[in-house]
Amino acid sequence: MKDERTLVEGCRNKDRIAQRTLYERFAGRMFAVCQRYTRSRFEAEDVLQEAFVKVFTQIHTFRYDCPLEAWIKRIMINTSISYLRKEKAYLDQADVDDYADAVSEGETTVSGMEYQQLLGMVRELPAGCQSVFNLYAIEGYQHNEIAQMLGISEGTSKSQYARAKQLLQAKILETNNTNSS
Amino acid sequence: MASSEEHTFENEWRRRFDDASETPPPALWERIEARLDEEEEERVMVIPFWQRTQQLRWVAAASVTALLLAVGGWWLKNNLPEKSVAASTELAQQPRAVEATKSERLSVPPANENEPKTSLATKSESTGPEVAAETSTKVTREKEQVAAAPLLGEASRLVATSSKRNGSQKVRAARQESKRPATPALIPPFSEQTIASATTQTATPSSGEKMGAKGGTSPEIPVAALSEGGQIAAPSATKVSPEMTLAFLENKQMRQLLGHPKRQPWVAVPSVPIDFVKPKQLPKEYWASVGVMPASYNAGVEIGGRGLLAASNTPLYNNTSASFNNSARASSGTNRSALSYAFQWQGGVQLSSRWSLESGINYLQGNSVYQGINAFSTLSNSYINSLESAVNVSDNNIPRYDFATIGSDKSLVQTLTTTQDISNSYQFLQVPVQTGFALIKPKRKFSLWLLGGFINNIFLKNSFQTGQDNTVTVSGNDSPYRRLSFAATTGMRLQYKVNKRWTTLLSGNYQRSVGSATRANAAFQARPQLMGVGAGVRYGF
Repeated sequence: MKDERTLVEGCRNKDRIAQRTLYERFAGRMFAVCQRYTRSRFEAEDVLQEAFVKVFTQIHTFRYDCPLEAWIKRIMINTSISYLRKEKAYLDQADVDDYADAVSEGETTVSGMEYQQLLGMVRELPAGCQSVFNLYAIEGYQHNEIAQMLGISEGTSKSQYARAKQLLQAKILETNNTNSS
Repeated sequence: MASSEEHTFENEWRRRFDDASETPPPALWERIEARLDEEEEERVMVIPFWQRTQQLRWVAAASVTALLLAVGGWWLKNNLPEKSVAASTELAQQPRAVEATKSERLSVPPANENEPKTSLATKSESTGPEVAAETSTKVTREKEQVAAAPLLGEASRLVATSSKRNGSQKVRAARQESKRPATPALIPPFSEQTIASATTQTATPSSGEKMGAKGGTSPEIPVAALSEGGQIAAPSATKVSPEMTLAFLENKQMRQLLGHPKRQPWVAVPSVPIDFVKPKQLPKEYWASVGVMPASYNAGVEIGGRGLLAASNTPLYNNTSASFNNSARASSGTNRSALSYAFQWQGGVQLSSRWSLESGINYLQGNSVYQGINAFSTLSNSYINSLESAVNVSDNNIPRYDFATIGSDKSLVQTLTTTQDISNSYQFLQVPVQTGFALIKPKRKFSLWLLGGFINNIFLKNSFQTGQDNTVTVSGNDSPYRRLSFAATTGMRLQYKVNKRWTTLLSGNYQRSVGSATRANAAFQARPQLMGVGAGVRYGF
């Protein structure tokens, strides 16, 4: 903790070594976050770069009221959302009733699957679904919070999530069937 | 069931992604670092000290002081009347002169090479042989000069037109030119003239063509293409100074250049055309005012002082006598203010929205009462008071007044003394010199000014009561009063602007004499104070 504080103070003083240390400590995990929200590695790199610049320029606003990693991750997510918003990634919004069918749970476990496979599945989700899935399933936000963050209605958030879940389960099934056959 | 299923689904995914890590490309840090450098540079330039002021208070204070000095110096420089007029005339005439004589200068050296305001051509001529020798090419001085002409014309055209695409291309061309090494001797005059010419061209668009036509006197120069507004074919021999480039980039097109960062908080501006382009200076407002100020005037008379030694020769000041001397030493009498008044005729100039400089002339009638001692002199066979005695002996011991000489025989002075309220009526002509600082700026109807300065008090006369209840007037150069004394003054003034021209004034004023208003050898001192509230009207020109 003390080490983290020293690091933050160094970054506040624009100490380039401290900045580099902080970057190296968190870049890997944060790059994974950016990968989940974007559709390609290049996009993820762009977002990561932009987000880290924000981290260093806004580090003086960090109040130690949460873990540093959580604060940085929040910046990554916000930057990703801003990026997607610019790219008009929320155009395809659907109603919740359209995706009422659910796939049975037992067959859709991800335990035996590779990380890259899963990441690929998430990236293949429609743009709106991808963010909602990330925010709800991985980050643990509630639909009302997601609605606020993305500037959509809560119903839309729910429907997007339902759709995302359905699509992912279908992909998992398909993958499992391919593997077993 | 549904919720637990959902929960399982999310948990599975979360577990898989939570600890996920992927190494970003190594070059990414370098990109971030570059962005940080850029950001910091901008931040430092836009807010140079503010985020670090905690550690740099002294630096900030020094900077503010330096800034104030610089602004003060600049203001003084610009407000010296003759200089500024002369400078603006020069500036106004210079570009026209350059343009008018351009063709001649291109080929014919000017007669006066020592002229300080020499143009490009002049200086080129004087340095011509060296330039030719150094470059060892066929490029003549005329070519160099005339080659600049298309660029000048182009520059003006760039400023005048709003064609961004063409403009940026040409500006790029100009930038490329500017990177080439310039002949040192040519740089300063060249840039000066370029900027001047470019500005002139903006004002008179047709002169660009004129210049092109004149440039055509040299056959090698591609001026035809220029006058048609086509792409500029900048001759390779053209030397463009950095200042010249800045003049070209002095419009919005600068921001669209390739390789320029999007945000440029500081845009370099050449110093010469600033004076040149904006002779815009708010005209100073002059005003005159009249007013009257009822006041409380206290003459602050104190008997005793450096002249006392001389006075001690007289019985009235003899220690052995029981009269004024003891009293004077014990309590040199008391002073009381009396109602007085001053008439004020003043003028001033408003230097800025905050500052004003004021002067004028006041007539002050100062009434004051000195509570002195009255005693009977057997010599003069009359009553005499301490003030008249002091005035009398102060005048180099030469008796000049009606109550006249008192002999050295102390027995002639009665020891029986009484107090007397001696009325004094002073008259001064005052010349105040003061500055005003607007605490509330005169943006609307009301303004409030803080005043401070000094006053030259020119003594006219003082009439006071004698022991016999007569009135004696003291005036003239050989009176015990100084002809000229000084007072510090301060005050506040509330102004109400009635209309564009007329303003009513209400002021409070305090004056205090600096030193005594009497001569050094006088047997008494006077340190007048005045406190008054005045009203007046002002007319603005």
